[in-house]
Amino acid sequence: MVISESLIVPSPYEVLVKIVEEVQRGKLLPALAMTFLKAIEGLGIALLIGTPIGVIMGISKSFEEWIRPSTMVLRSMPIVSWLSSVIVIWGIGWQAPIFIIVTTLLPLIIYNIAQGVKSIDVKLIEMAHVYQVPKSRIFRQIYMGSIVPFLLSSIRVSLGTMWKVAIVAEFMAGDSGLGIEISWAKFYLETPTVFAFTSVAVVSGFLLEYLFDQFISHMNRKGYGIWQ
Amino acid sequence: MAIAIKTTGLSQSFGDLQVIKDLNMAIKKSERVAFLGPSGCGKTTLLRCLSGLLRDYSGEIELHYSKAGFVFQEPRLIPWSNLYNNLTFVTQDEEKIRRSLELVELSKFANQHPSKLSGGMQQRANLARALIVEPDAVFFDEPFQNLDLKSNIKLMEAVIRIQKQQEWTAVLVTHGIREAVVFAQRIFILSKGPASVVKEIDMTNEEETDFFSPKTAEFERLILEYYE
Repeated sequence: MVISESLIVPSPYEVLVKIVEEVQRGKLLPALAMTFLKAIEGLGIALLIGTPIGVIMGISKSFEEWIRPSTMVLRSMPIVSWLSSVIVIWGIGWQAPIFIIVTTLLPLIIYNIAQGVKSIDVKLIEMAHVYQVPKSRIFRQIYMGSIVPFLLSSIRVSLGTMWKVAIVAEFMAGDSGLGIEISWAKFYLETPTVFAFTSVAVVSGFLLEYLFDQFISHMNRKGYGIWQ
Repeated sequence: MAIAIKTTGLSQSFGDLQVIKDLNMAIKKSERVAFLGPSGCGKTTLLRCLSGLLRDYSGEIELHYSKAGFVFQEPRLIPWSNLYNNLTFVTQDEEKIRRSLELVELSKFANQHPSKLSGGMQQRANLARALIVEPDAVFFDEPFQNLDLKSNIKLMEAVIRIQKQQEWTAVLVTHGIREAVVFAQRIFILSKGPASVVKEIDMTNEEETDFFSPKTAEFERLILEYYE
């Protein structure tokens, strides 16, 4: 039996042709958009939940002790274990990838934000007390300002992770997006299609991180000094 | 002239370490005084007692001022806020902010972030923040220490010019003999530690001293005799 080479490792030319074909068929760009949407939603939800928890964790030692076991469980739980529970609850659909992204990013964001709050310059706090600055203003201008570099660092690390996790979750429990397209292509042994979608996923992930870095450099050039 | 600050038998200890011992002195209203002593002799602790930041001392301190400004050793500016917002942190009164920036000649730099300002400009911003509260006493914790000579002279000129205009009581702690001579109308020389006054030099009748006048060098020599 002769197995075509393109079934195992297709040539870059074949992959490129496949990408063009998939774009023309109208499958690739909507799949990319769906994955992107789910990844960004997941990141947004994780930031919304993780930031306040991280701030409280940074301020209160007892809260940190109380919540640490839960975050440790979140951190060490394998994605596939989450997936089996999520499929039972919601079935195949858009919820599973978003849920998996949130649970994966949450501990990372919580710990980064808590670290930001802990690293606040005590001399700035002392200055604020000398000038009897109201607590709400100290919180807004010093505490929130201090966590910005850590928040940005969380987003920077999350960008790569969320992209990978979104595609894995779609592959196993999704109904749309790059992951499910890769899954179908694998099922029909269309290796060039698997490589085509994978290449698009890699380039998109790289592009996301690049654009984010450019944004940070631009802010730094303007003198905000937010990336430390 | 009325007294602004008076100490009688002032002592301060941290555990077994005595930092100030039986310190007696009086500062007149609208006077510029300098406490001169070697590093680690308890100057900053003394300044904190006189400015009301430390209250667990023994002995007596009479404070006859209502509002105090504090110029810290390091500028303690919020790095992610521009100069204007650093001042709105202390007061929301735009007119006061505008006036203080004008006084220290930083109006043009209101939109700049601290990282874009030179060390001397940052210290003038530190001074502007102290002046914003419309103080009748301003405390200076070695603000000239980390500046080059040119910035040092400019900051010193600004402080003396504004103090003469507004007539607040100015209290400087420093280990720089020349700074003390140029700044003060009266110098208290402190012992090596625990701090107590070993010599008081009245300079009100002396002609004006600047960083380069022969009179300044003469005073430097005189003070060195008492300086441990």
